[in-house]
This record gives sequence, structure tokens and C-alpha cells, in this order.
Amino acid sequence: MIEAQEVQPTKPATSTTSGVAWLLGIALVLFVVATSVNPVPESDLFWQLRTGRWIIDHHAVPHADAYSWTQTGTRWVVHEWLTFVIFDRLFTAFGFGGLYFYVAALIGSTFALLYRRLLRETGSPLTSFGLGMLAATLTGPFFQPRPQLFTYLFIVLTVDLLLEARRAGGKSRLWLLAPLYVLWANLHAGVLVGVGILGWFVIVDAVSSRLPGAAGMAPGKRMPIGPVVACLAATLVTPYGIHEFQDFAATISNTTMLNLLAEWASPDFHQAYGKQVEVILAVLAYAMFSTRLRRDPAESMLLVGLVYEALAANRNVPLLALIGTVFVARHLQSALAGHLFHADVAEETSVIGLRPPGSILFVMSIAVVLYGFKQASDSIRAFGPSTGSTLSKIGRTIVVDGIYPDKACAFIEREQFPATMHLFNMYDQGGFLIWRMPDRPVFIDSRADVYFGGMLDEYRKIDNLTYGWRGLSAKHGVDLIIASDSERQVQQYLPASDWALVYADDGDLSRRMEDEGKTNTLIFIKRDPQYSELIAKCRRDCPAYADVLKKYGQWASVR
Amino acid sequence: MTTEEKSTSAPTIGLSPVAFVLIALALLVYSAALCVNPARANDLFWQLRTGQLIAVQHIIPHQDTYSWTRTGTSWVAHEWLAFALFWICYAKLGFGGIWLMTVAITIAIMVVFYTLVLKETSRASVSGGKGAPATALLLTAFAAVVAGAFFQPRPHLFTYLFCLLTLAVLMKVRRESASAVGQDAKRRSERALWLLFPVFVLWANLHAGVIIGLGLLAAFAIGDAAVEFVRARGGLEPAGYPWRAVALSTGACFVATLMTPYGIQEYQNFAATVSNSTVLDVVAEWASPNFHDAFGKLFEAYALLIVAAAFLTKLRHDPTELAVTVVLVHEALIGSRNVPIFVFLGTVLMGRHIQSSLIRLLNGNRLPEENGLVVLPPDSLFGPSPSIIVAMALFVVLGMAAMLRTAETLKQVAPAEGSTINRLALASIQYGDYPSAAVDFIERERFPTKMRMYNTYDDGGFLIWRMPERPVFADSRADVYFGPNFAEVRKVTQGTLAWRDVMDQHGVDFIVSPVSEAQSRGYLAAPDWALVYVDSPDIDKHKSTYESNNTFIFVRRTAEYAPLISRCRHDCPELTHMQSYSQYLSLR
Repeated sequence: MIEAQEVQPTKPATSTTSGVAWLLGIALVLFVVATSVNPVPESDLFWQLRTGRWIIDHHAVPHADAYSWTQTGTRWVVHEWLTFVIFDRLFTAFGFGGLYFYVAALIGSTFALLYRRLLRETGSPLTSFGLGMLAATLTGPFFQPRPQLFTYLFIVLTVDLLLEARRAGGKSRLWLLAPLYVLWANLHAGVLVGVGILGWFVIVDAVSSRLPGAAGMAPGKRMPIGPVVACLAATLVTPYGIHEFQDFAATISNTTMLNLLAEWASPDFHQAYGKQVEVILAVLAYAMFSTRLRRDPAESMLLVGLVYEALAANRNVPLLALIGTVFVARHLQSALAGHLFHADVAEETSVIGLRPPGSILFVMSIAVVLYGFKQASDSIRAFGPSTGSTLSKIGRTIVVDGIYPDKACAFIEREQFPATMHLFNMYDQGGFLIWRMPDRPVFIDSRADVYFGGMLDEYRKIDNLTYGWRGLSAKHGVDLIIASDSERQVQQYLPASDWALVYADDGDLSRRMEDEGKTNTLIFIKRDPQYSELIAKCRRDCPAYADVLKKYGQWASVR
Repeated sequence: MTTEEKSTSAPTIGLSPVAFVLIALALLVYSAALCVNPARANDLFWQLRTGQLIAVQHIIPHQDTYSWTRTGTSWVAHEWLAFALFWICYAKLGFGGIWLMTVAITIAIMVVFYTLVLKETSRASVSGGKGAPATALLLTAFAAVVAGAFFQPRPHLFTYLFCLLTLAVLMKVRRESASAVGQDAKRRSERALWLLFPVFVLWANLHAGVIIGLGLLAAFAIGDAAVEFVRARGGLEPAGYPWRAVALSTGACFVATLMTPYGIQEYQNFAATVSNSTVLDVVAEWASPNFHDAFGKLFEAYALLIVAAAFLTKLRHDPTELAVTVVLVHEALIGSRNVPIFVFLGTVLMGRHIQSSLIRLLNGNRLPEENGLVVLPPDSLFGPSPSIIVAMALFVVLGMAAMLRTAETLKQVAPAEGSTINRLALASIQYGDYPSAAVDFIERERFPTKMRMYNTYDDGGFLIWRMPERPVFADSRADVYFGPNFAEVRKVTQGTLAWRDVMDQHGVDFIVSPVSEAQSRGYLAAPDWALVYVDSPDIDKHKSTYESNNTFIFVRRTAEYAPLISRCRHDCPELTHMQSYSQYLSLR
């Protein structure tokens, strides 16, 4: 093996080179801002909106569940409380469009910072842009109005300051992280990832400094422990203190949840996203293998850890993308320079140099930006409403509000379903129902940590189509079911003679409306003498019921 | 000649006779225990029936005759020779015979693998041309654990074996050719490639994985050609790799693969299979590894070992071998069934780097070097002559692991009666998980043969074998059902309301469905279907014993079948214990 030399990346010159760097950087930011118009149903958003409103109204944070009737009073750690307040303020001012501002601002800032750091690592606008685009592609599916966007931003900031301290000295700047972590801890529990990364460097540097010879690290270059301890302490400056750690540990160790939720599943390498994950793995492997620079043990091992986490769960892939590209950037540049030019550093006017040819890159930048905006436009056309302001259309597109049972909720309110009825709903709908019908507690929702233990396990049985679903629903006294016709469980409800179908959004139960960003919600009421009048009234008042009866009259619940 | 080649000679194991026996026994016992692998063998049963057709009636099928939905469709039974072998073993010794054949092939695979890895480890240090038995045995054991789920009575075992043999020939020829002086010496070294021709003829009739062998040959031909091209452009001397001979051999082996009853159809069939996204999404072994479960984690650990070896080795990398390893990783990521290929071939390709990395990690830079290679003390733990104590420890650990696995299987999931071999054999294919009792019931109640049966994909093979007079709806010969049929099976298994349309369009009269199947909920609730049989009324419980099967039989409610329904219900006492499910309309 060739013993690597330490080569410092060159800083961008201040001539026309910086013009190209700016051009590509702006293109990258515009691309991610455009692709932040990302229509993905987001079940958490709605209970988060309601919670934000509650916090503002009560000037306090919740400590116990009040949204469900199955877990009411259970301890609830709302570690992202500050984000929910921001959501509520933006929604109040701008509607769902305000949430788009949130996504665009955070994602734009994250990638601007990322690009800047990549440029410092590589000295190459094009290499930085390429890595930035790779990170954007992998993070793109998670461009949603969710608190974890703060984690993406602060993680990049953490890594930026960390590397600045390691490369250019000035370790005192690391103390700036402490107040940042106080803020982060109240925005998203991902702050623990930041602490973990800092702690990792402290440990590996300490071990490395004890190794003899070239593998060792000079004591003066080690990661200082002081700022890390300060950051750890900062994470306790929340209304919940140590409970945030307990909640985090409980979450990542709950196997029921890890197997239930798609974003916690391993990447599927048959799908497009999985293939993109393969691409970044290949880039990492190529860069680390072919580099002519010395590999930092802490950075190398952290990369291995990030790869492990990414393979374990789709939702960890953005962390690999954002952090991994930074740590691998200078090695990739070194590898490219070595293979393309047989040199340690690329020529200045080469395509991966300081002053690449501007005309080609100009065209490429325009193409990328136009592609991003085309994606946004297509999304709005496919999932957005046909009327309303542009901001409103964008907002409703990113929320995919058509996928939620809004009409069914309106029907329930209109028909004045008794408040004493015990509602059963699926996990993904719970958040919306919490927000839309705040006076009607839910069976379950996407605050998985509230339901850890028996309730989540019982829900999983129903999700797995237990034959004994009746027993479970009787045990809990369920007398009202809201379900989407695409749920498998509907197969059990429709033929059930002890349940009555009283509402459907659409009379055609075989149409896959979720492909159009819409839902076909069904409402079932338990056949009980106290509800016979309600059942009859609902069937009279539901416009689609006659169609359902005509097409599916053989099902007992429909008759 | 590189510094690595200077240290090599024909490898001999530098062990004492006692240590050799201990390690050999450990390898054999552990390999045999790998076949004690309780897993459903959905394909085995239709393969047995087909093997009988071939071995006894001397008919090689070209069209489907097992289903009523695809009867007459072209069927490429490319593994026909393996089926015949399965039948011959079954005819002699029952399922025990098949199990013994599986054990024999597995032992062959592991012995070849161990030998190759041992040889590769000899290239990592100056050790008199001797490999590292402890390293080789531990890598063999690790590889076996990762690939263990696939040690079943299936033709792909032949592919594992022949892939290793192909790689062995390739690596030998490449190295001898690279170090040969003069054209005559080079030609002599290339002669071994011709051995592959008869191997590929045999392989092509045993398993379609012969295409992987062709891919391996082609990859080395292309890779080495690229290396020589780059070297020539850089003004360097040729490396001497025999890429032309390998390319020629690839062509010859391609011709060899056409020497089957199906000729070029085998390739059409293979292409149709790997490009069918429904199959890739529906069939579990074609899915990507799930890194939450044990198999995924083992694969991850193994991949980490390979990657670490690539980085930590002190030896120079062979670009072609590295490129092939990367491709193997890619294939493993997109299909669980490709993981064993990655594990076996990847370990051989990276064997010397693994050994070099181990030496580096354990000994640092303290050992002397000679021509760039570490001089390893013979009695070093990972050296050529580990002590008897080390050999004993390996024997005890692997032997105990084998015994515990076998004992656990016999206790938990094997039938209570029969010879040990037979019990192991039935446990290994999870015979108790198949609807034997339901089939007995159908025969006993004399269901009219004209009745059209719907069954699941996974049970189809068993039903083909067990009720040969009754065609199935679908089975695990996925390629026979490509197109609308497969899409319909998928529609039903996804638990949609559309199952009724499928049953009505095909005129299905009765359904045989596992209780655990999601779609069984729909059947149970359907008023126009009558439940006439269940193995056990505890339909929400899954048994983890040998008799784990629980199957429903539903008959369509028509006037024609009313007497049959009535009679079946009278004759199935388990139905009377399902009062707690009386709300389900098919029970009324």
C-alpha cells in the first residue's frame, strides 16, 4: 500500500473561479428549494399543528397524552415542542403554504452550508456540486415539513465547525455549538446524533493519540472534550430533561415499531431509492480506496457507522448523505485527480479544478434548475388543487391533503355522531383526525412512543389481520371504525354482519384513489340498538351509499 | 513475477497428523450440520414429480401439465438432471436419501471452499508456501453461517460448487500465465481452461446458475483485457494475464451451455426471470436483504470483513479481482439468494487480503519481512502450523455448534417417529408445514376431480406431488406463470377485494389456503364460500412444532356442491370448535 501524504485542499481563487463556484452553488440551492415541493403524506404534521397551537394557548408544554382514548394520561415527551410552535405560527399566517417556506428555508440553508463546506474540502466547484446533488437526491424523499429538517441543518453545521477546527485550528469555535445545541434539543431529538458524532471524535482521537508511529495522532490535534460535554449538558436544557434520552432509547429499541414503519425499514435495492443508496456506497468506497491522502481514523470509522445505520433504516440515509459526502469529499477529489490526471492535485483549468470551463457548467446549472422546477410543477399538477393561490397550491401539494379523510370527518360532524363513541382508526390517519376532530380522541396515531408496549403490539395484530380482531375491538369497546378502502382490514369489516357501513367517499371501492393523491374513506358503526337510528340516518344522507349498495350488496355490512 | 508469487508453491498443509484430522473432522461435521436447516422446500416436490417423469418414463417436459391455468405453456425444466438425481435418491431412501445427497454436495462445496481459501492465505506471508488452516476454517465457518439458509435440497447447490471450481481454474491459470516465461509455458498454463468445457456441459443440465459461471469467465476476460490496455497506454509491460484464452474459453463454455434439451431457450427463460419485476418483488429470496433480521446482519458483518480486508491489506490488489468482488456485492444487495455466491467467491478472491489484514492487526509491524511479505512464525495462531490445542479448540467449538443445531432441530421441529436420518430430512424441509392432512381429507371425501382448485404459490409444488391427478392454480415454477397469471396471484395475495374477480373469472370451485395467509381472512368472511375443513381451530396461534401446518378448505356455495359441503362438515370435527369465530359467514 502507498503511504499517503497529507495534501491540503486549495482554497477557491477570487477571480472568475468564484463565479463558477457561486453559479453551481446557487443552482444546487435552487434545485433543492424547487424539489422541496415533495408530495408525501405526512401523518405527523397534523397532531404537531394541534400541539403547537396548544402550547401557544397554554404557555406550557404537554407532559401526558390527551389525544387518544386508549393511552390518555400516558407520559408524553414532546421533545420537538419548539418546532410545533413554529409550525403553528407559519400555518396561522400562511396556511399550508407557510410550511413550504419552512421546508424551503431549512433545506436551502442546509445545502448552501453543505456546498460551502464541500468547496473548502475539495477546492473544486464541480466535485462539490456533484456531491451536493448526490446528497440532495438521497435526502429528497425526506423534504417534508418535519422537525428532522432542523437536524439536517445542525448536523451539517456541526460537521462544518468540527472540520474547521480539525483542519484550520481554532478549536475554541467548537464552544459555539453549545448554545446551538440548546436550541436544537428543543427542536428535534436528532441533537443526540450530533452529540454522538462529537463524542465519537473525542474517543477515536484519544485512542489514536496512543498509537505509535504514523498511525498516531499528535495530542494537539485531538478533539477537545470540553465543548462535547457542554453540548451534552445543553441537551438537558429542555422542559423534559433526561426524559428525552429515555424516550430516544425506547424508540430505537422498539422492534415492533421498527418493523411497522416504512421509514425504519432497510432500503430496498430493487427500488430507485435503493439504487441511489448503492451509488453513494460506490462513491464512498471508490473515494476512500483510491485516495492519495491519509485517511483519518475517526472519519473513516464514522463513515462505516453511518453506512451501517443507513442500511438499517431508510430514514438514516440522509445522515449518510449529508455527513458522508463531507468526510469523503477531499478523498474523492484526490482519487479523481489521481485517476484522471495522474497527479495529487487536479490542474486548475481542468473540469474538476479550481477554474473549470464556465460555459458547460452554466448550461448544466440551468438544466438542473429547470429540471427541479419541472418536478415541482408536475407535483402540483398531479397532487395539488386546481384553484387557489400559488402558495396555497404548493402548500396543499406538499401535504397531499386529498389523502386524508376530511370529507368523512365533515360527515361525522354533520351527522352529530355521539361524542361517547369509541373510534378505531389506523396509525397513519390518527394525526389528521387529532387535528381535524379535536373533540374526538383517537385509537392510535403516529406518536409511536405514546403507544409503546401493549397497545402498539395489539395494533400490530390488527395490522397483521388477526382473526380475533373482533375480540380486540370488543375488549376496547370500539363502536366506530374509520378506514380507507385500500386497507387490507376492510376485507374483514365489509363482510361483518355485526357492523354497518354508513359512509363512503366514493361508491367504487375497487378504484385505487391513493395513486391520485386521494382517499376513499369508509365509516362503519357497530350494529347496536342505540345506533340503529344513526345508521339509518347516515345511509340516507351519504350520497355514495346507494352506489355501494348496488355494487357490493352481497357484503353483510353494506346491507 | 510479483513478490506474492515468489513465496508460493503447491500448497501442503503444515499441520501435524492429529491437528489435520481434528480440523478435517470439524469441517466435515460442521458441513453436514449445515444441512439441518429447517426451511420450506417449496420447489422440491414438483421437482420430485418431474424427476420421476424423467428417470422412470424418460420424458423431459417441454410444456406445463401440472396446472389448469397454464396447461400447454412452454416450460423449460433446465435443472432436469438434478430432478432426476433427486428422484433416484428418493426412490432408494425416501426423503432421507435426498437429505444425504444434499449433505454430500454440501461437504464437497465446503471442502473445495476451504482448500481454496487455505491456498489463498498462503500468499499473504512467507510461510513455506503453506496456508493458514485456522484462518481458512474460521472463514469457512463464517461463510457457512451467512449462506446457511440456502443449504437446502435444491439444484443451486451445484452452482455453488461449480462456481468455486471455475474460479479455482481461473485463478490458477491467471497466475501461472502471468509468471510463465515464453509462449510455450503460457500455452501450457492455459490448458486447464479446457477442463471447464465438460464441467459447463454438466452444469448447464443441473442448474441455470451456469450463466453465473459464464459471467465470471467473461468478467475476468474483460477485466484483464482492460488492465492490459491501460498498462499498454501507460507504457508499462503487460501483466501477462491470459485474457484471450479466457475469452475463448468463455465462448466454448457458452456453446457447452447449449448442450441441453432446451438449447437457447434456457437463456430466454433466464432473461425473462431476472427482468420480471413482479417475481423480483413477490418471491422472498429475490428480495433485498433485510438488515433488521439475523441474515441481513450476518451479511453486513461479512461485507464489512471484505471491505476491511480491502483497506487493511499490505498486498497489492488485483484490479480484476477487485472489480468482480464489487459486482458480487451489488448482486448480493439486490437479491438475498445471491448472498452465498458473494460469500463464497468473494472470500476466495479476497482470501489473501483477509489473511494479510489479520496478520497486520494482530502483529502490527513487529514481524520481519522478506520481499515485502511478512515472515510469520509457523506456530502463530493464524500461521501454517497451529498447535494441536488450537485444532482441538476449533474442533470442539464447531463440533458442538453442529451437535447443538442438530439436537435442537430433532427436539423442536422434527417428527417424533422414524430413523434419525428420516427425521432430520423431514425437519430440514419442514414437511410438517405442508397441507398433508388437508390433502388426505380431499382424497377421503372424494372431491370431484373436475373441481377447479385455487391454491397458494408456496403450496403448489407440494400439491403437484401429493395430488398428481389434480392440477393446481399456481406453483413455484414462477416462469410458467409469467404474465397475467402471476399478476392475478399477486392481486389475491395482496389481500385486495379483487380476489373475488379472480375466483369468478377462472371459475374456481374450491380453495386450499393456509390459515396464516392474509387472503384467508377474506375467504372466511365471504358468504358465498363455505368453510369445510380446518386442521386446527386455533387459527390465531402459530405452532412452532413439526406439525405446524394449519390449512383451510373452502368450497363455493352452489347447489351442485351442497351435499359435498354438508358431508365435509360432518366429517371434520375441528369445525365444531370454531364457535368463537361464528361471525364469519363462511362458517354458517
